[in-house]
Amino acid sequence: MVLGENLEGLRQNTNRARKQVLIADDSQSSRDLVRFILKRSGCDVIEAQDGEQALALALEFIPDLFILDLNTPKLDGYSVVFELRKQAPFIQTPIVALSASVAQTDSARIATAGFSAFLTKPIPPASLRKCISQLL
Amino acid sequence: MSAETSGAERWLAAIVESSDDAIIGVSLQGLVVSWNASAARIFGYSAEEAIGKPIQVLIWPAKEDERDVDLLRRITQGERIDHFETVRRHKNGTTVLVSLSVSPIVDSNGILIGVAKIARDITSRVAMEQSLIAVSDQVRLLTEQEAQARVASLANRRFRELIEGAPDGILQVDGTGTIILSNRTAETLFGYSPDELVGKSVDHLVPETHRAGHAEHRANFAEAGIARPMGMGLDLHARRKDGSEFPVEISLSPVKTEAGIQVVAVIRDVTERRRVEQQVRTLQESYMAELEARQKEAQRLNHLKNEFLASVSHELRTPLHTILGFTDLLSEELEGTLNETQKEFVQHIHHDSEHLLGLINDVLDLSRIESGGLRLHTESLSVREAILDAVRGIKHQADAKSVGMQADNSGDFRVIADPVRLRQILYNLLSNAVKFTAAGGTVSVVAQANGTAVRISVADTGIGMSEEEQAQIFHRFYQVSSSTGGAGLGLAICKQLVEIQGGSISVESELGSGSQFHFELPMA
Repeated sequence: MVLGENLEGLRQNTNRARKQVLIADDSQSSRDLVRFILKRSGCDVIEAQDGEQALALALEFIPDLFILDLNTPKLDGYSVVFELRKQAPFIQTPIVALSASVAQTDSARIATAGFSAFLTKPIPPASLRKCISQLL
Repeated sequence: MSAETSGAERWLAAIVESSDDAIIGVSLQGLVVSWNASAARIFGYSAEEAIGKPIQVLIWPAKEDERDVDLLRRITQGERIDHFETVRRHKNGTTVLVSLSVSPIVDSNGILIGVAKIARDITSRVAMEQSLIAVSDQVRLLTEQEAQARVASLANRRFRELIEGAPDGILQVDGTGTIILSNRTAETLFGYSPDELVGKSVDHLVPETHRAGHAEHRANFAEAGIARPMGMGLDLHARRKDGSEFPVEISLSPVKTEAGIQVVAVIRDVTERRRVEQQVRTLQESYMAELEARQKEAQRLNHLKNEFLASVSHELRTPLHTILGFTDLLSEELEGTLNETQKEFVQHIHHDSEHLLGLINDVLDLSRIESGGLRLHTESLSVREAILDAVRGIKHQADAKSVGMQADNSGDFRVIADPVRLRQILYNLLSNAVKFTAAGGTVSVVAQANGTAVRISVADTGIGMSEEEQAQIFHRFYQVSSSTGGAGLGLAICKQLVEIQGGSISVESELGSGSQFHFELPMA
């Protein structure tokens, strides 16, 4: 499921002016939140419901940044980043991990899994924007 | 001599003659002058034989008694002797015991002319006295013996009654294995009629399967001679007259008799006891089985509960995250300004949502800790790294409030702890510290060695707390002020987490200046 205008123009365009951010989270509400947070950040948001869809859409759109919830169904965040890092377009792409609780935040594991940064929910909107702008 | 005088003399003579006692007149020279019939009887000499003879020769014993010698002296001095018991000799040589009365005879002028001796034969009296003494001695002896015999007999009877009445069977067995004594209980136990057991070989009472070894055991026991229970711990059985067998316990003691070493056996029928023991065992087994089943069930339910909690917690938290996110977006007013009232509304929503989120997190955590469902994966951890990690995690909250963060990187300690839980404790303490510190304040983390532990301190320059607050701070649901959100479980959880990892936690604080939370964990 993809939102945003000019769908066709977004594909395979690495020099585009607007950056593309892929959010993978199984909660619609969470995905909406990210979309609204980044609304004025000059990014287009591509939404994935689960890990498998995240990979499929990644290949289709080659996003500039990933925001992956660690708990996505079918393939969790760790598995997705593992797959992404194996593929040429995404070796250097910034990938942010979203973790649902302090207990789940295993920063060592997150770092070694290949993520570029992590945030724990609930995420203050300002923090997310700052993180994205630093990475892009 | 006148007629009267001769009449009186005749009376005197008659008296002398008829006296039972020997009356002897002796001259100063010691010769017998008069000798009465009783003298003849007592001493065996007739008057003709005695008169004119020296008295000493006649009747004094062979060995001179010095008392008799002394007697003469006393008599010549005019003394009168009475009841002088001494020994004389019969004509035939036998000894005669006499009681003498001796008195001087004086003439009309008072001159001593002789001695009158009256001798009473006390032989028979003495003999009788002696036989009386002997008899009374014997009687006394017999009485004593009889008394002893009675006592012995009584003791014997009592002893017998004791043996007979004992609740256990008692047998005495001689060296050949023959029963020489059995009590009533033993007879009843083994199904024999009274006295039927005495004389039988004890082997009759041993089950056939064990007879072979029994004789040897008996011999060994007699040699060792120590009282002991037989075959301790073994399942002993005895055999009744009708051939049936029953379980027994037997105690043996050696007894020394003139016939050699014999054995006394006390036999207890333990049929009932074994039955009860078996019942208890069966009951125990069924209880153990039930206990195990219940434990398994409890574990299963606990596991289900934890799984439920884990899955539910994610579902409960997710919507709250977005609520908080959207209230933040509203507050940013990027999609439109809010009037003061609207801003207040948004603040309320945000605050209560945070509160709810805190509640959920804490309740789930505490529930897991308390049900023991919290599994710890302890390992050796770097304290410095854990601190840096936690500080990184809290940084954006601190920055948002303009509270400074300081972490002391000097030490390089390691602790034995669960990495996730250590992070949780640090994060909790840091979060509290930031929460209670105003803009411009500082939160710092320091680690030090303290004996076999590492002491980590989280200090803030925040509002601090009073002594009463400090006393309550680690209690469940206690909150310094409810306006700061959370359910008041955070520090209670920290305490639990620290303690289950073998550590301790404490607080120092001054109202208005700030607080320092210290916790210790075992050094690696």
